[in-house]
Amino acid sequence: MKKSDIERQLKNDLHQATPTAFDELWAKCENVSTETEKEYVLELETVAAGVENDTHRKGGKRLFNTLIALFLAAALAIVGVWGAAAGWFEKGGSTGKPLGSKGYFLLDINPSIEVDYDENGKVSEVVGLNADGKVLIYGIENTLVGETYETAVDVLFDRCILLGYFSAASETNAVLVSATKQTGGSDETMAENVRKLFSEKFVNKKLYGVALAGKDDPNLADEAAAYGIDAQKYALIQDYLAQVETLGVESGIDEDEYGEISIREIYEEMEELRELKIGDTASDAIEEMLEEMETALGGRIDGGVFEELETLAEALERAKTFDELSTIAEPLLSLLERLEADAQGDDKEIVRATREAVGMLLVGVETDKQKLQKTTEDAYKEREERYKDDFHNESEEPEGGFEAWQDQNKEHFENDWQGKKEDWLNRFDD
Amino acid sequence: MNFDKLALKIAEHDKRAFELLYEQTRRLVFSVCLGVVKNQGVAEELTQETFVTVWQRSGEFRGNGYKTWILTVAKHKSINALKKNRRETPIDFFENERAGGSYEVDADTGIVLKTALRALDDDERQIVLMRNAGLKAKEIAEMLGIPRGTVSWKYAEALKKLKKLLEG
Repeated sequence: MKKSDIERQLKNDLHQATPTAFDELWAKCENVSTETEKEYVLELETVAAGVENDTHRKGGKRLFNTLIALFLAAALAIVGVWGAAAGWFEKGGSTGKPLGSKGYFLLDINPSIEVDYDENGKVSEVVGLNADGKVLIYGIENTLVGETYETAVDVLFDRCILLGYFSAASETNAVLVSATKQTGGSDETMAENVRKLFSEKFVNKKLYGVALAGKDDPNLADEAAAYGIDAQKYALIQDYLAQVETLGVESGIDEDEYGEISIREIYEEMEELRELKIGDTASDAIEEMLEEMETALGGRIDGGVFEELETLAEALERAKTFDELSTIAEPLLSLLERLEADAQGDDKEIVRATREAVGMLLVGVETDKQKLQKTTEDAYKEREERYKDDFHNESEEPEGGFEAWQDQNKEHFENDWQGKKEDWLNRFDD
Repeated sequence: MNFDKLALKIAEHDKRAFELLYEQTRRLVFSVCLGVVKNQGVAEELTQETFVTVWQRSGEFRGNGYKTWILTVAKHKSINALKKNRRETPIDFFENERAGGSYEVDADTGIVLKTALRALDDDERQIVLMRNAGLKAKEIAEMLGIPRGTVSWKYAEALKKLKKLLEG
């Protein structure tokens, strides 16, 4: 039975089971009062708030961005400068470069931006490639011309914070960077320089974040344009689709989401799937080792220990993330240690070999975890240092020490960029 | 389909808009309810109750996310029904049904759906039902409060389990 057969049958079963009769429902609706029932209002609002809070914290930001985008779109249309920017995709991408342009680099955060530079590394043009990109560069697209690319990155990074595209509340801020020479082919030096600048900015601004290497593949330009995105974002989506295919899971990103999904979201999903794959492989391997050990010992050891092992094996079956595996690692290794101490002769050797193999595998998992987290580790340390500095500036040491103080102030730290965003909005209104 | 615009019409008691909403979302609402309570008959009742509440309460809905709001109402009602049923169910029933929850799966439910209801754990079951009722991975992730990657992963795991069970 194929996966598609199961899905088709399941859809059919669901279709058969779903109620259809609207009239019956309508008869009930006609008989109920549409007056608010006080007692139930509280209950419902609590639930709606609880579930939607997280969504709408992000959604609020999106709403804000959408409102700004709409306003700016109208403003741009009025002053008649819309055409140059909006025609980018229709013209088949980055054509008609300014004279003296040596190449361009693409930045995808969602916003997507193209920055053209000349032989001296000075900016010759800045283009917003999508609605968010146009918002991000509004009012500065001309002032950045003639500035160094370093200045441009600096300004664009700060704007990303002001508009909430980079946030202290997120642990996976991400930007995708690639650079292409005017004559064709990638400009690796420029791409690396820009990525480095972003990485440094993440650290300096105490944000978790990663600057990823993009691929501006001209062969993907047409397909990308059909989705209203640039080639490097499309290439990243293709990488993601290849990853889900390899893992045998279904894509969690639908085609109609390509335009709006941020690099951060794609990156988060790729990292998470990678972690789940490592965790799943590790837990399967450990389970197999334990089974082999049990068979090899052939019931010569106290059954109670195996019951404990069974419980840990069940927990392993469920454990997929690094944290879940870490929780099980310690009791598992100490149980194997006990078992080894009690075993005699060859049995001792069997248990020892299993314990070492499990231990090495868990060390491997830990290494993978560190690799995945390395990108944000420096930023984390910097941010923690800042918290500590603030903590030591307090006149009295709070009860519970730094950890408790950090928890108490977490919301404040996570939201301090909101104030900056509002400042920017006020300036925009002026 | 712009659900948020529909919300405004339903708030003004537009029957046609409500019927349209019902047509567009009944399977989603039913799948959310069924994913929680596992019993077709109970899920049907809860689906109806959800829409009655939506009809009564749409005037209070503000902003965007109307579809999420409706599905949240459905989930909330289903969890409450399950809790209520547990309070009223004798203890020995749980001993037999510990793994399966407190409602029984209907005998006449389709074979794949029945297997999904009986064999999958809570998250897997809800993901499988919501995904096949037409909800995006992103929306499911928001509903269940888990990352989108986990939704994709658990969905694949659940299908593997179903395949094994249906073939075995």
